[in-house]
Amino acid sequence: MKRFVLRLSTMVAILMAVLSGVSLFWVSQQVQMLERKQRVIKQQVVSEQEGIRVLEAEWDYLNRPDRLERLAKRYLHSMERIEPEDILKNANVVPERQVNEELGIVPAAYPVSKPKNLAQKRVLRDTPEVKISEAKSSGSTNDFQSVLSQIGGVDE
Amino acid sequence: MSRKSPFSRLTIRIMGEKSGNLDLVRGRIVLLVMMFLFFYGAVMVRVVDATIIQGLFDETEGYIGAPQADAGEGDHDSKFRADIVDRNGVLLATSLKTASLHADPKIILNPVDTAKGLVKIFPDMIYGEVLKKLQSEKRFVWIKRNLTPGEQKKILEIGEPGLVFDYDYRRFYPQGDLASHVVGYSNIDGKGQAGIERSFDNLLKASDRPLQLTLDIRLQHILRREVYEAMKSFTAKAGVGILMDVHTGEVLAATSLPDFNPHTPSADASSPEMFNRLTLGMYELGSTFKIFTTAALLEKKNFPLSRKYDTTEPVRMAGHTIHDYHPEKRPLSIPEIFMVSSNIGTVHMAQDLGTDSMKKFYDDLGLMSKMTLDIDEVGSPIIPSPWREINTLTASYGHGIAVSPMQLVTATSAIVNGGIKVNAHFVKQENEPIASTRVISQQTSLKMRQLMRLVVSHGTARKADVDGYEIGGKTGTAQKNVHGRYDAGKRIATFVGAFPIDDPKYAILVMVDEPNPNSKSYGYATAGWVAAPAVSKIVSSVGSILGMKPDMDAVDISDPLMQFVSEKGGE
Repeated sequence: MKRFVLRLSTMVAILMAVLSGVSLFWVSQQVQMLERKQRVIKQQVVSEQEGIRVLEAEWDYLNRPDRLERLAKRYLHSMERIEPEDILKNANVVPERQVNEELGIVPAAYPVSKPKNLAQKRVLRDTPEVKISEAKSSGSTNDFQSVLSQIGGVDE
Repeated sequence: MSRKSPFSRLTIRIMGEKSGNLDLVRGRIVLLVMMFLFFYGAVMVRVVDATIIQGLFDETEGYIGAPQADAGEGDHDSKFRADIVDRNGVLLATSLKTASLHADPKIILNPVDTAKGLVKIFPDMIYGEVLKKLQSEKRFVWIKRNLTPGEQKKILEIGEPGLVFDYDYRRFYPQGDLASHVVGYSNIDGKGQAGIERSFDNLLKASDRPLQLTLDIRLQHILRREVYEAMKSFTAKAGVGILMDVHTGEVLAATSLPDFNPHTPSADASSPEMFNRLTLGMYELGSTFKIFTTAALLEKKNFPLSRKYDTTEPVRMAGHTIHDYHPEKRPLSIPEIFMVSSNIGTVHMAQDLGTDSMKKFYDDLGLMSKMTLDIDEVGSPIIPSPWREINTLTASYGHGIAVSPMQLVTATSAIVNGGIKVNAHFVKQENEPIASTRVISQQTSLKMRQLMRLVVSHGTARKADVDGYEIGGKTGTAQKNVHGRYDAGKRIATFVGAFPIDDPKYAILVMVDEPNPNSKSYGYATAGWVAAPAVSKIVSSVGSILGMKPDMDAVDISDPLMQFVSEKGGE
């Protein structure tokens, strides 16, 4: 009567088959997982890129020259447009910085042509005003939606 | 097999020589079963890993708000167009993905609440209409196109499965109408309809790299602002401004007013704001053509500047009489003729020059044929045909020949840059300049610059002067030809020039169409009153942006010409 005998070579072959089967399964699972991850990451990249495009468009929209000019006119009263006469070839022509002892304000260098007290008055008058208006402007421009809807057609 | 099984009666024991084989088979079955059990075990381990270990503890994959699979790929379709940017990379046109909302009323769970939610998000919607849409029997109804990301988020928060988003690209022009005639616009199907959008339609569709133009939006803004200002204060019909690099032909700024908002272009193509006056509009640009007549005479005949022409008598030919606007009624030297803009003197110069020489010279400058440009809206100049002698005479001072403002400024660039013809273009080239054909000699170019400076320092364009940036140029006030007759009440005021005139870098043109005298202009609406002050404002503003150092002590290059100018001529 023949007995069922496992030969060593059969054992090894079976073991190999089992191992390779399991490893194949494992690898294919890993690949699927990674593919899924990759797909998600790709989508994230695409959506981030779209986000960047939107933000770039918004940035350039907010930096339109006419808007900057309008804001500068409204808030930077003491900063006037640079005329050709204002550009000096020799930096030494600019007078030394002077300290206003009464107020403790160190003004920026004065333009040569302008009288001293006029420039000081401006500094005094404008400081609080700028603060108020900053708050106003951030309130109206931070609204992403309104900005986008403006890009979409209605020019402010 | 001692165990009693219910099937034991069915078990057949086969004895004999075959029984050994049977054991062998049984052993193999056991082995196979074990192997299967093992594999199933592995699968179970993986299932536990995927569902419990990774599913519950590792949430990186299925996070809330992950983009849907269809949002990213396969959407890079026909409507995407590459960006258009200015020379500093500022966006002029861009394609943004926007979501549009539609609904499938069949699977809307709660139409009333959904409609309420939508009306809250979009205040301009009417509740009744939305509800009607959501309760209709259709499978597809549009709710709203081109949502903002904020609106989209709010809609997602309603959580209604019947609301579906559609993603598509839409063209945005962040600079609005600032450069609309150059950039152009594209329609809702993503097809370019005008300007660069039209002429580079295929490239913009195929490429995803931005297309860089030669424009600089800062300069563009200044130019547009001042041309608009001039137009408004002289209640004019239209205005044109161009700023060009004289060596490369790059158009740094170009505006044609009135212009349009590229987001909402007029459906009527013949409406005035849709007409590109820069390149498509053909105008008799008047005395600005004296630049070319004088340059041709100096180049071809080599006459000295001291040569005089008598302007006492108006020129009569073929039924026409050519007058001077401000008659001097005496012999004038060439600088004087140019400075006071004498038509009679220029006509005599053209007679000296001859028809063939003049036509050839105008042709060399590109004034006689349609110019090549990288936008499609280019018109052909209106040239008299046949060209008789009278046409030579009138063309010498810019009448009877109509060219586009772009042609005029391109030709002027060639005159002032040392005599090299340039190709005007809007798209930035890798290697500038892209042309080098000599039309006049260096020497003639210098003489012309001196003459053009003289016009600004002592002549008709004194209001164009800016201290520090020496401007040179020529004014031209032409009467408009309305139905074949020149109408003295309708004019085109033009200034074309260059700065700094001792070594020009930029050419500038301002043209105002049908200006009317205003309260400050003493009844005048000539180029010296209309266009020249605008040029002065533009140059003083753009100088610092262009990085030009103002030179307050510059020697006026027209000073040597003063010897040819009598006291009376200098006013």
